[in-house]
Amino acid sequence: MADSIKRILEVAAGRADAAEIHATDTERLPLSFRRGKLEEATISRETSIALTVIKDGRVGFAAGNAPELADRLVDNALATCQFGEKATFAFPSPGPARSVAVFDRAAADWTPEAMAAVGSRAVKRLAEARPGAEQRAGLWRVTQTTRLLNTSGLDVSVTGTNVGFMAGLDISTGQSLMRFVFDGESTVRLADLDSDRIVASVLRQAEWGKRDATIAGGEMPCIVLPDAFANMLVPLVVAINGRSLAEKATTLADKIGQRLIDERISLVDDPTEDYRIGSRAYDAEGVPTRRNVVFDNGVFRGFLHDTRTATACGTQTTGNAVRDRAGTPVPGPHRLVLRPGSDTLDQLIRRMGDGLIISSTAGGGVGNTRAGEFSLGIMRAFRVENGQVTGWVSRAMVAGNIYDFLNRVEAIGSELEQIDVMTRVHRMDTGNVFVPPILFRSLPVVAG
Amino acid sequence: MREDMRRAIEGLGVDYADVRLQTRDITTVSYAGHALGEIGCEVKNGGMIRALYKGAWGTAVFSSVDDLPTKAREAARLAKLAGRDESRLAPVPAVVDHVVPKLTVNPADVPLADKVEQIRDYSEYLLGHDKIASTRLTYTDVVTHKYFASTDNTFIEQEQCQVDLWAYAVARDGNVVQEARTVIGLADGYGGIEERQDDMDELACRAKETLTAKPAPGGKMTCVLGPYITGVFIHEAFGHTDEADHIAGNPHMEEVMRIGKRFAVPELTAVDDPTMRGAANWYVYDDEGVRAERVTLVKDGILAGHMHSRETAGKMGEQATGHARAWSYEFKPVVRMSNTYIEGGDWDVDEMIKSTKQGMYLDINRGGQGGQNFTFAAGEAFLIRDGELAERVTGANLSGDVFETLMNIDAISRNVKHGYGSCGKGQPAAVTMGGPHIRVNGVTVGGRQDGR
Repeated sequence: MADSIKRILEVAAGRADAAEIHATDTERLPLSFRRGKLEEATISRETSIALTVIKDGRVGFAAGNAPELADRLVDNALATCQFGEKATFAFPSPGPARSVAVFDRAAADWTPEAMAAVGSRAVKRLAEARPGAEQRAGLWRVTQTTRLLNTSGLDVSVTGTNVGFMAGLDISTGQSLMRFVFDGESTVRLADLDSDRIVASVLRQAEWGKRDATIAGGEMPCIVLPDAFANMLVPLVVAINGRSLAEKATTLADKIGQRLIDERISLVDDPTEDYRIGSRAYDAEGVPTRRNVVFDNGVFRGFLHDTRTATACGTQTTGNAVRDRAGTPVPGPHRLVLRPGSDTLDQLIRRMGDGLIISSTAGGGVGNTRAGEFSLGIMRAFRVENGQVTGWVSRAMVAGNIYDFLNRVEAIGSELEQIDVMTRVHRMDTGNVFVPPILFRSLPVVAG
Repeated sequence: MREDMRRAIEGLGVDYADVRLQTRDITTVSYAGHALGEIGCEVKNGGMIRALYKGAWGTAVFSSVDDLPTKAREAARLAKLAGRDESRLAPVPAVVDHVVPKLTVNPADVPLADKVEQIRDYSEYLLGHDKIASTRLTYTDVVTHKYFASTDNTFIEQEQCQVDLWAYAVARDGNVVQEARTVIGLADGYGGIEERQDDMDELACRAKETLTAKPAPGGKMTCVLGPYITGVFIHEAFGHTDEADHIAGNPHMEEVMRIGKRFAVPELTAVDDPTMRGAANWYVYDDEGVRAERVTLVKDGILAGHMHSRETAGKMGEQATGHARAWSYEFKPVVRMSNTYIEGGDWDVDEMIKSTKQGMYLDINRGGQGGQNFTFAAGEAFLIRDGELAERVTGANLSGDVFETLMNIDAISRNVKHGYGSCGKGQPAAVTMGGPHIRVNGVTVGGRQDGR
């Protein structure tokens, strides 16, 4: 795609004062298994081109997915220009960035046949352990080249890989349905992908969910697993976003330097490590990335900005521009990590003694998110008595405030997992967020 | 076009193949407060070829249509890598058709300047209301031209137009911040975007009034659900369970969702109707070239039908219903709801509230999740005390077991309303969800159990 992309920039540069192109070329190969069989395999190859122009001091934007649309792209971008925001920023010139390794040859070369073999082995193990249970498994590989070039002389191109595996079991019986346990992970390097660990995790949850258990409700000790914690984190991930500050819609505006949450909680966005999901040398505006501390031992240190929100707030970009394939840049975390502690999940369970493991929640992003509040349905939970998991708890709810919850921490687990924090509704990209299991002294649980 | 598509999928040595091509123009205008947030035009063209061989699918997705034959061979190769079983697609008649919707105003004919001005006007109008500190409005129009061809000799050309406006108003009083949203969705063009000041008044008022509302009490209680919450209930809690891709080939689910079983009180009938003209989402053919049909999901409390793709219908020995939809070319068609609602009953709404001693009134969909255990959030909630609506509360979230809840409905009102929304199932889909007011006993409301 190299030459045709450059040509679009040249056409745009001829008609506008400045221009920038963010182009991606993505190949995806997902395989899905159901009931022991490979059910579907897909190969997809897609291009996307996002063009931003500045003309007469205003910004215009257009996107398309084929280089032959060049003229229309430029026409569309210029048409939006006359209404566009004032260009308070300039496209960055090339800056010194450290190199960050994000490509793995073995991942890029993973064949459908080899993927099918890994998947077959996994579903065989699931079927042997749980005959009759509906099983699902999926594998994928993604190779994506991202190119960013602008009329300030920047032209960087990065190719990264991502491979993943997920497995799940439906352990419903009787009139119950969709009692689903699952786990999955994605990695940059094929060698880091551990399908055996995922299968073991699924089988452990299936064992936990074999019996039904009930809870009385009220305040109780809880272990919140990463998947379930995602919905609780929505208000916080929204609040630390520079866009919230620019829109005056965050309660953290005057809290920099204050200790707001438990001093064992540190939250750091660090995309500079090699071979990590979310790592990258440049952000989506071409600004070199860096390590940004958001919470340092419970003390709030600052917001994540791109150049636009930074300009609006009178500060500097933190190199946190992100974007989905064809959008304009927005601020967001690249690789936001809640610093893990030292306890394994089994240790946390023993330490809790009696309480609830909350494994999945629903309803994130609703409630008074701006104030830190959430109200969630608990979709999957397990009761713990005397340090042992005793059964599946259906129908409970948990409501509260993330800052309050993060002041109720008893212990932090050691095993980081990637979670999906749904903040799209706020026009913020979630980037990649990683948290460990957390044991809370007590949380308010409403029994169903 | 038709010949190229037909040639690409024939002679692949598979049991079945189809190809979808699409051109799509998307315009987005968003405002945040006084400032234009985002403006852009996107052109998205591409296609998907699916090949079915011995029960397994191989699929190729592409954005350049130049190499259709190569992509078709890739899809066939992947299908053959996977196929070990038997292909079972429900038979459907071959169709050749071209569907063009009647539009009030084609958004492609509305100058960008007019769209920008309209959205800016709404944003400024909202900001003119007391206590409204910020706004976020996102307008999107999507004009799609789709082509479908299959080895069953079907060729369909469909034009579609989706226009929607998501409006958020943030009210602030000192340190208290509350946000409310409203959604307008249209399948008949740009006309319905104009003159919506009443919707903006209602939105601003709701956001402002929520500022002084106390958190909802938690616990089990009697709830009167307004049409929009009734809609999200039937969509999330029941509708998803009745999508046949969750059922077909799973013996446990086939038994749970057997037609003829009682699921609800005898007064309840629920429907999914893609053919509901005028709804914000209606269509004639789904993305497998199957003519869409109204499906009665529950008739007088008894399970009466499933929503199907050709494959799920084939596996279950039922008729295809035209519910396999794809958001755009890069997504495969999966079983989706369209316009789902509970039919009206014979209660009067005032009577329903009057005869409720203590409980909660909830309305306005703020999103949720389904399955047997459902959870969804209400954008508006009031306590009911001694048969009257009392004070407004905030943060009310409903949850329960769908089977229990359907059996605990004791009143259904006459008038049905439909709300527009977006549903996610690996890919988005525009849907409507609706119904009358219903009263349910013993629903769990998640709030603060201590009532703080």
